[in-house]
Amino acid sequence: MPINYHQVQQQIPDFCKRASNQRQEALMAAGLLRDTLEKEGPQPGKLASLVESESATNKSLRCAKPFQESPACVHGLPEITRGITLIAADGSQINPSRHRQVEFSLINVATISLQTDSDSPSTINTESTIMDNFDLTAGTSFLTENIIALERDIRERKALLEQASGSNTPLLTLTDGPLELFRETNDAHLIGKMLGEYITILNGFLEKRVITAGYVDKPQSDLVARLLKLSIKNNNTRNLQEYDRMETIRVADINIFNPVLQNPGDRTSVFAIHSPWSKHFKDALELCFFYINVSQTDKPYLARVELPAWCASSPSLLDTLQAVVFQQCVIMGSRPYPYILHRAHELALITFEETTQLDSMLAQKMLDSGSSQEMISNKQSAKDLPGRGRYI
Amino acid sequence: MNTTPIEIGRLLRSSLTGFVAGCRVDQPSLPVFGTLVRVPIEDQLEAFGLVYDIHMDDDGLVRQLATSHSLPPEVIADNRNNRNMPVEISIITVGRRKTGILSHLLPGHPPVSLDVLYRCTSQEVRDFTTTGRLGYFRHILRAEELPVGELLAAHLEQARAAHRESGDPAWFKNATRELITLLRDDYPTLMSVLNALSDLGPE
Repeated sequence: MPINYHQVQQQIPDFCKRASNQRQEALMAAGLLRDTLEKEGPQPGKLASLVESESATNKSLRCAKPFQESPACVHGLPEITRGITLIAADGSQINPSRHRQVEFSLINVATISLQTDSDSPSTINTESTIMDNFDLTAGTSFLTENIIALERDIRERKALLEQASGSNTPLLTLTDGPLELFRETNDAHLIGKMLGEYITILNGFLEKRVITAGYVDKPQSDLVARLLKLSIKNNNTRNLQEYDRMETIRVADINIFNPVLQNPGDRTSVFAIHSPWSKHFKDALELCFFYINVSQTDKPYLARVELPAWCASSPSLLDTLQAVVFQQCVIMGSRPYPYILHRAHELALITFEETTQLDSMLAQKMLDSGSSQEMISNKQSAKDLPGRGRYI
Repeated sequence: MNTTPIEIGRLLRSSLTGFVAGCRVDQPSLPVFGTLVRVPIEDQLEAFGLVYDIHMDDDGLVRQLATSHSLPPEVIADNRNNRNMPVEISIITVGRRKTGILSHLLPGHPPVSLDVLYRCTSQEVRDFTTTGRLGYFRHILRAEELPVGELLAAHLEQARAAHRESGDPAWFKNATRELITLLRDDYPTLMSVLNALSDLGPE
C-alpha cells in the first residue's frame, strides 16, 4: 500500500505554516545576533574570555570562539594560487547485517589527486577492506555502524596523508564533512585509541606542512550563534526576556552570515571550536572553521570549512585554502560543491549491486571451503520478493 | 596507411550482424567513421566490420560541468581519462575470415564480450575489398537504419587510398560501378550514395 495521501494532504498546510513561522523567527533572531556580532565583534578578547568563564561552570559548552581576529571580519576572495596538488578522499561502507548470507562489513576509501592548471590526468586509488567480528576474544568491540563510520573517517584521513607523501608541494587535502572526529559509541577505550590514531595522522599533516581541511555543505551548525547568545546573556543592557526567547530559537550560523558574505568567494574570519570533545585537539591541532560563500551569483550559498589551527594561523595557507575551495566549487557551475570531493565520492561509493555481489562471493567461497551453506534471513527473503508494482 | 594491427578497444555487446566496442576517449588509435575493423572470435575465425557510429554518453556530472563557465584543464583530463565512460563504437558486420579464407558471409557466431577489436592494416583492407565481387556491399545496403551513403563514401575513400598505395587506382571506379548496378532499382538510395561519393573529390 502506498502512504495515505489523503491524511498527508490534510497535514501539509499546517506543516508549511509552522515551518514558515519558524523560519521567520530564526531570521529575526539571526538579525539580532548579527547586530551583536557587529557590536561585540571588534572585541574578540572579551568574547574569548566569556567562553572561558562560561566553560568553567558549563562543562558541556559547545560554541565558537574567536581566533586571532575580530569575528565580524569579512575576507574577500584572494588571488587563485596556481599549480597546486589537490588530493581528496572519501569513504563508504557496507554495514554489518545479520540478514545477509554472510555477516560482514566493508570499508572502501578512495583518493583522487589532481594537479591544478595541468592537463595531466588525475591519479586515483581505492582501498577496500573487509571487516569482521572474528577476533572478539582480543577484547575488541562488536562492529557497529558508528564504529565502522569512525574507522572510515580515520582511514580517509590516513589515505590522504599517504597520498600526500608521494606528491609535490604545495599540497592541499580535502574531505567531505567536519575535521572534528566525533561519533556516539559506548566504548570509551576504543574511542580513546581511535582518537589517538587520528591525532597522530593530523600531526603527520602538520609535520609535512600539508593543508588538510573538511568541507561541510549546507551546514546547519549554530556554533557562532551560541557564542553570540552567550554575549547577549552576559550583556546587562539586554533584558532577560529577550535572551530567554532567543535561547529557544535555533539559529543556524549561515542565517547570520548570509547577508554578510555577499560577494562570491567571501569568507568569514576564522573561529575555533570550543567543545568537550574538541579539547582533545590541542595547540596547533586546535579545530577551527570559517564560512565561505561558494555561490557565483547574487544569492549567497554558504559552506563551512574546518581546518587545524596551524593552517588557520598562516595567512598564506588560509588564502590558498579559500581560493582553492572556491575555485573547485566554481567548476561545478550552478550547484557549487568542490569538484574533487564529488569525484572522490563517485570513486568510493559502494553500490547495492556490489554489496550483493560481495555477499554471494563470500558465501560461495565459504561453501567451497567446507562451511555450511549460509542463507539470507527469511525476513530479507520476503522483502526481496517481487512486489505488487510499488517502487521501493 | 597503417601496416601493423592496432588494438582499438574491446567488445561490449554483439550479434551476428553487428557489434559494439568500448574504448577510451584519450586513445590515440580511435577509429574514424567507415574504418574496416576485425575481431578475432576464435583460433581460425575473425569477423570483419565497418565502423558506422561513434557514440559518447553523458551523465549527470558531465551535464553539470558543461554548464560551467570555465573548466580547468585538469578537470577535462580527469573526465576524459579516469571516469568510467567508454566511447562506444558501433560496427556492422560485413564478412569473416575462416581458416585463413576471406569471404563476405557472416561469421557463424558473433564475437563475445571483451574480445579485442583491431583496425585493419592497409593490406587487410585491400585483401578484404578485393575478395569476391564486393559482396559485402549488400550488408551495408540492407541496413536501412544506417547513413548508407555517408558510410559507403567514408569506406570507399579509405579503401581507395589503400588501393592507390599498391598502385591500383581502378578499384574505386569498379566499386562505384558495382554500387550503381546494385542500386539500379532503388533510385532514392542510389542518388543518396552518388551524392555522397561526389563529395569525395579527387584523391
